[in-house]
Amino acid sequence: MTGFTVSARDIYGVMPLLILAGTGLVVLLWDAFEKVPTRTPLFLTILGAIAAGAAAIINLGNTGRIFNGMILNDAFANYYAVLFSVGVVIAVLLAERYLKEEEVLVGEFSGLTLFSACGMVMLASGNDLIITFLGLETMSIAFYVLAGLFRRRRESNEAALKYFLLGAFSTGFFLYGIALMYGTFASTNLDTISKALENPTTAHAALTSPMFWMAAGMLLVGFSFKVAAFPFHQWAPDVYEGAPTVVSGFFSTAGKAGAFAALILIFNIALGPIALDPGAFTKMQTLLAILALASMFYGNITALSQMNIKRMLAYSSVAHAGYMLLGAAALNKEGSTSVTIYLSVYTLMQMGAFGVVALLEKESGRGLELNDYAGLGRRRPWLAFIMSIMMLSLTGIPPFGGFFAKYYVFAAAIRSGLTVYAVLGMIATLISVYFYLRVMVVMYFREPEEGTAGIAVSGSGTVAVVGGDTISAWTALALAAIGLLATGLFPIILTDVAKTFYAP
Amino acid sequence: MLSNYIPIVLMMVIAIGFGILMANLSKWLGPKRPNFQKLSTYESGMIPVGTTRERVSVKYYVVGMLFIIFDIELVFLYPWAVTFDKVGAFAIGEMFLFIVLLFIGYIYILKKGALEWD
Amino acid sequence: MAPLSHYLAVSAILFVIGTAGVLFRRNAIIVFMCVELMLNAVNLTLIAFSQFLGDQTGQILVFFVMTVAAAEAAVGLAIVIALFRNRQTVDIAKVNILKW
Repeated sequence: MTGFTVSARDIYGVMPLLILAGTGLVVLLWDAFEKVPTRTPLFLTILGAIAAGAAAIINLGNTGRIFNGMILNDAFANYYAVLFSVGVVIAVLLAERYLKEEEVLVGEFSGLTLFSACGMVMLASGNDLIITFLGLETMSIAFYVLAGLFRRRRESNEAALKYFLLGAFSTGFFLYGIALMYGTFASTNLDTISKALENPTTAHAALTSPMFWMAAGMLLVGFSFKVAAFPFHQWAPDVYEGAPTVVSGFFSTAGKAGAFAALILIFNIALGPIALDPGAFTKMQTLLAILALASMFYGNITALSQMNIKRMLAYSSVAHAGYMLLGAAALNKEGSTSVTIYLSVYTLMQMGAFGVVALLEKESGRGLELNDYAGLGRRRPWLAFIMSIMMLSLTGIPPFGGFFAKYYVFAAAIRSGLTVYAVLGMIATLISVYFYLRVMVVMYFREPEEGTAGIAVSGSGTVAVVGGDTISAWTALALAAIGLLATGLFPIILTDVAKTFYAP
Repeated sequence: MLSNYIPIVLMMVIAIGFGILMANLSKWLGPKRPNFQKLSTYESGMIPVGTTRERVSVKYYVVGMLFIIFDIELVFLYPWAVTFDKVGAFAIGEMFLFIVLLFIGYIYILKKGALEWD
Repeated sequence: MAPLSHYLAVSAILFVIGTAGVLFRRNAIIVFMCVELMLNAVNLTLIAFSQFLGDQTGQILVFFVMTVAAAEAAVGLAIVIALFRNRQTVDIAKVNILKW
């Protein structure tokens, strides 16, 4: 046995991961030694996330594998690391005041957010199913705890328990998928799997064995749970409603991005050579596309009847998982690029929407019904304006980034022969117009009912607002809104992502 | 076909019968002169207090949880301990890093007071 | 030595038992134990493949699965304790404030 060595190149390659993990440990220790809780952990978290993002930007030009081919260090992995860092920064900026009012320990929030970001980076840079598994679990375990952060609130407990039980259940399926993949290809390395599929003899043996299809199915079940896609989405509405609002935003954006990054790495990149076998290719495409369509229709139709804004956003996130799955169903580089673009825009808009909800939330989770938003356009015009941008972008109406994100996803699907599915997907989008625009109608054209004291009244000082308006929260919202406008007005930013950051 | 299994069935019947016989033989044959001391739970020990189905303090579970976490790390230490002389200096450094990380976790729970029983 | 398919069958059966337990049991702790059974069934598959393919990777993955399962157990117990402190129940059928 030869000694295993590690080179400087390896260390530089995982720098974003090391910075995130290191900051997480520092934050935890800082919190442990602090007599009176302050906001320093949040500040350190933002610094750490920015440093990790910077390290990832420096690494963007890298190509290749590090740590004996276990970890990917290329534009793809580092682009996602930047995306996760942005997600952490926005979440922490939004969380500052929100958590203080709810008397939640900021140290734990900061540490867990950073550790879950570590898991996401591992997911996006895992070139071996072992790393993917570890990343998925690092992310999920941190998420289970984050969901239960309001430990004295029953809703939060319940969300944590449901998320934990269903998450652990899906882990079982995901792991079984890995085991069967390992049995099929005698390796967990994605490069080895890819090579085996390029070779006609081994590819034929693998693609005709039921074990391969069971493995692919099990992995897909695991991923569907994590991204909240149709048949396995049941946890999402409950968890998003019960978890702290900022945390729900983080789950549904960065968490989804992490799981999708791994899904792309496995299905679009590693299993990409499946395209050499047209029969198997169509089979796999249909599998993904049907999941995608089911998610879109189910998410959008169920969201129509939701009066709680967090549940509505949860069902809308199921639908968005569907759009992204359709992009992934193209099973080629173009498909994965479109999903990457979609995730970048989606992180901004969904996080922004949850941010506005967090700002308007009142004590002990009140103020989350759609009717509470009546009259918001007059009392808090800027907040209503930001919410409108988020809603229009989520719908996919032109001057905002959401439109181009959807465009690229559908274009990728059509170009890989999924025309029928793409057309049906557009119909699903039309359904979603109703409930997104309803939020705007309520905000601008409906007066708050007498006696219910809608959120809008809080300006007069009678009702305390949990979130409160702080510079940090507004920075986060402005960041998201400007990002959406910029990507909407200059979609070349997005195509640049596709061409340079993430070579197709 | 099924007749092949008859010896096994016979064997099981004999085994169960023998077990029951042996367990009860001493009860049937032996003299019984019970008194208060002999009937107490621990004949020459302490007098039992309270019911056996007593509820355990929830603090016990916290300690149990922490034990699970720190205990399972042995899984990595054990293969390392067998091969550390062959895998080079890097593996030794790596293992110390691992232990340092665990130690940071330990300091955290200590400082947060998770190990204080009261 | 028994052929590979026997090991795979045993672990598949264990996996299905675990899955059925998760779907039909009501006690949160038992549900969680069934999840652990599923993970251990997969461990058996991995070890069997590792043995028959003559490859170490599967066994390495098993170490990680064990650790992750322990971490999950700790987090899961913590969540159940937090729930019990607020509700005095671990019956998942009674955990139902959140629904549409």
